[in-house]
Amino acid sequence: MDRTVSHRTRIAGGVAAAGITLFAVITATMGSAHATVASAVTISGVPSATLATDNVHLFAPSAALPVPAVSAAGATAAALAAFPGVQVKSATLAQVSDPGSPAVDGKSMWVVNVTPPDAFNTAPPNAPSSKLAAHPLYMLVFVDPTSGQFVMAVEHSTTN
Amino acid sequence: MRLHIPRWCTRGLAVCALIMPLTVLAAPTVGATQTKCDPNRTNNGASYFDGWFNTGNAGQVGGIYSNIENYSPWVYPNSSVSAWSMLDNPSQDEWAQAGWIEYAYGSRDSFVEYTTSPGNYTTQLYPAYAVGDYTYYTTMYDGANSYFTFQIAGNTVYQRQLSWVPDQAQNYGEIHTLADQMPGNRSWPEDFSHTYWWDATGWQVFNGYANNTGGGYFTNMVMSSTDDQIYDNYCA
Repeated sequence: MDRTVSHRTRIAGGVAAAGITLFAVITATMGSAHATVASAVTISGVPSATLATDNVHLFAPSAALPVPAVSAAGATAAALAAFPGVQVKSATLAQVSDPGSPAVDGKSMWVVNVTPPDAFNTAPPNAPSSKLAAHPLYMLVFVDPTSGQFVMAVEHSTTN
Repeated sequence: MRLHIPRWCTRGLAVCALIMPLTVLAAPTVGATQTKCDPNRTNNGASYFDGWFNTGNAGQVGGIYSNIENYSPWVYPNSSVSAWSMLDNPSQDEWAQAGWIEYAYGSRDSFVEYTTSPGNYTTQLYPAYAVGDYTYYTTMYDGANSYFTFQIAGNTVYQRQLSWVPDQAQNYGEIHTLADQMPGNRSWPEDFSHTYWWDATGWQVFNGYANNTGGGYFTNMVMSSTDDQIYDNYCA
């Protein structure tokens, strides 16, 4: 009997301790989540809704991150080297969310907004007989803020 | 001139040094070279395609890969030339592809491109692989979750869900004006080699149908069930 009471006491104590621990974990997690939710970054001339259809989301980089080794001017130069002739509109340091792109997902990148070159304003594939005009909506060039290397670019176009 | 280094060269350098000069002289590609060639045709702003395709039932075409030579063609100003592997659904005007692209004055990239809806498409550009090298360009579709996976040189560069279902696979060279050079010249064709597709039962030889939309301007040579080669007739 005593053993039973003692056993129940231990179980109750264990449950209570587990509950307190769980509450503490949830609270800490929520607090952590609140602390790490970054504000979305918008880029002038690039509709966020269209960017979202490409599964690309940009957030302000954490203030805890060190100052990038490569400056905005360096990122701009890298973008121009990768795409000679484009016109640079802006360079923004951002945390990138693009789950399908291992090259940039979850990483801090310089996002260089450029005017797509004329070479992109061509007919898409799969339209061999009908000469469809393509209209680029935007082009973003991602540059590694540590190495200054061109990583990838995303360009969204429409034929409508 | 392309230097062919036999595998056995890595095993015995002394033997290699003795035999290689003879091998190089005997190589069938002596004298041939991959060169840019202005075909001297008038800019007409029209697109042309040269390559091969195969069709299957929607939902049963699950991928295509091809080891494509990174050819460097002559590109008319403000145009672009490319070669790629692609899954598509022509009746719905949807496509998903991976390949190389070159712009005027020699700038090059690797790329993937896909439609998010008819009339809307996204191009992703990555650093190019070396001209003259062969690179596997792969597009795959998983009908179980509608995921498309794009691979370049065996590395997954992009993956996403799309709402359309492919029923065709293709390899093509693509130009956007007759003033561009179609990839390949007579002595050094563009090569879509080791081409396989997934059709219903697994990976199998592509065995595609040759298709040249430019008639006498270009040539298309199906070399085997896995190899198609193309070139611009105006380029020696």
